[in-house]
Amino acid sequence: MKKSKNLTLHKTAALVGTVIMAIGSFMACLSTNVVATQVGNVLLVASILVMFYGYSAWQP
Amino acid sequence: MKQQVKSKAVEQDSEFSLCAVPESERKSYISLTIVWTGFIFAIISLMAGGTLALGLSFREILIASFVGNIFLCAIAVAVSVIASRTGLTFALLTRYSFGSSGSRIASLFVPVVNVGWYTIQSASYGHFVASIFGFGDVGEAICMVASAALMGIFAFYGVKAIAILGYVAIPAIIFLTVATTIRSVGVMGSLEALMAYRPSAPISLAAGITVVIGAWILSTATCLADIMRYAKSTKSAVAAALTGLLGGNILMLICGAIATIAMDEYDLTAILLGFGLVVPSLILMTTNIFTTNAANLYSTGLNLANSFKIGRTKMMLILIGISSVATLLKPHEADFYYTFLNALGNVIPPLAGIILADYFIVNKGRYLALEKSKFIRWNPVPWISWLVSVIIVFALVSLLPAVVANIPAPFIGIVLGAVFHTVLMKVTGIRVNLKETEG
Repeated sequence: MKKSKNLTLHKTAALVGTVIMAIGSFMACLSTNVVATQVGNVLLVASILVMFYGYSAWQP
Repeated sequence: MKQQVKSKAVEQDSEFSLCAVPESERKSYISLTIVWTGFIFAIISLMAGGTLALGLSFREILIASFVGNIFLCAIAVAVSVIASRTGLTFALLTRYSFGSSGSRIASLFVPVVNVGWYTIQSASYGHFVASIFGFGDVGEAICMVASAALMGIFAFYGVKAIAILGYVAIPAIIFLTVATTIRSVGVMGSLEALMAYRPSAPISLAAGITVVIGAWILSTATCLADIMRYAKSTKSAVAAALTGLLGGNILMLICGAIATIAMDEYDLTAILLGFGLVVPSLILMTTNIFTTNAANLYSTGLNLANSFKIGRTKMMLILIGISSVATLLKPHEADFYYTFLNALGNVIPPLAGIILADYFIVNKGRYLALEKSKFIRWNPVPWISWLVSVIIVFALVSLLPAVVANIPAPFIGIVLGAVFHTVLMKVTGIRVNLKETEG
């Protein structure tokens, strides 16, 4: 039960991380506003950490 | 006692460097696609795209990218079929044609090229990081050594670690590549301007296709086997190989070409830096180099484990150590090193041709399982085929450069190796595997 709950957490982290990465990448590269670019950078870095956590235990 | 040492070595061989990958350890289509696409996503594809843009219109670039990758797919399918059916590394496959002792020498050539490029890429990455953060000579040296060591960690932990890296890196590469390309098109003005682009020094479409094939033929013909031996079925291996080439490689080629047309620069990381976008640039460079280099060193370790008959783990540590120290020689700045590796890039393809012909033609698509086989020590036929093929390829490169401009030298090498090996094996009637082949 606990194992299954843990796997769901990893799966959610992997998928949410991927979505955050998409948003972060496009914000960081395409935005002309400095604040939006910085937010994009933060999202990009955060998404990498979240994805490593997610994909380390769950892979499609 | 000897038996105990042997079984301990087998236990430690979690990456199956000296035996076939068992069915229980086989991986899904998605895992294989992630590892192979991570390998394909490299600066060399962007560079090839940039080269296409210098000589072809955008419509011709699309055609050259597609046709070139169809050629690569043909080789990839053949290699994937052998690897998934046998479960063996490229190095172990050479035993069936070269014999047990011959295989140890034959499987030395691919690692020399791979470890060379690994060291160059590690040094380039270390230099890139040091220049972004404004480090001095000592800082740069530390960055270069650390790069080689860090990339090696993923290769050390094997396919599982490379797959996790791929799952994180590939979305990053796709999103950042597409976003940078969109921004480049924005600088150019419109898609119409892109479609109307005409190069200042046109080249033939055949020459463009050659550029596409030349960029990846070596890895497709050799390293791919080390990844696809993990496939659950031949179908998933073939599908993964095709996805990497037709999806990943074409995307990178086209993005490299668009960037060159719009910004006069194929390297997307340099374009991002030009826009002042340091973080995306660093992430794109890191994901690009790490995925390629980790798979590259992994394949190298497997080949050398076969050559020197030592454990893969020990071999990986030796390779990471040598490569880390070698980055201090700044190989990315030495022209002769590139010339040497490119020359070796023409030496290896006939070997791939020999392996393909030996499996599909000489042995009619069947190899007896490795553990049931007993090989002769040396078979002179593949060596003769290889030598003659290499001599012809180098003669063509130096005497008939026009031919090589339209047909890639590695492709010629593969065909020559396959033809000579098939003919000579038929003529001599040599049997490399002393046990009967499977019926």
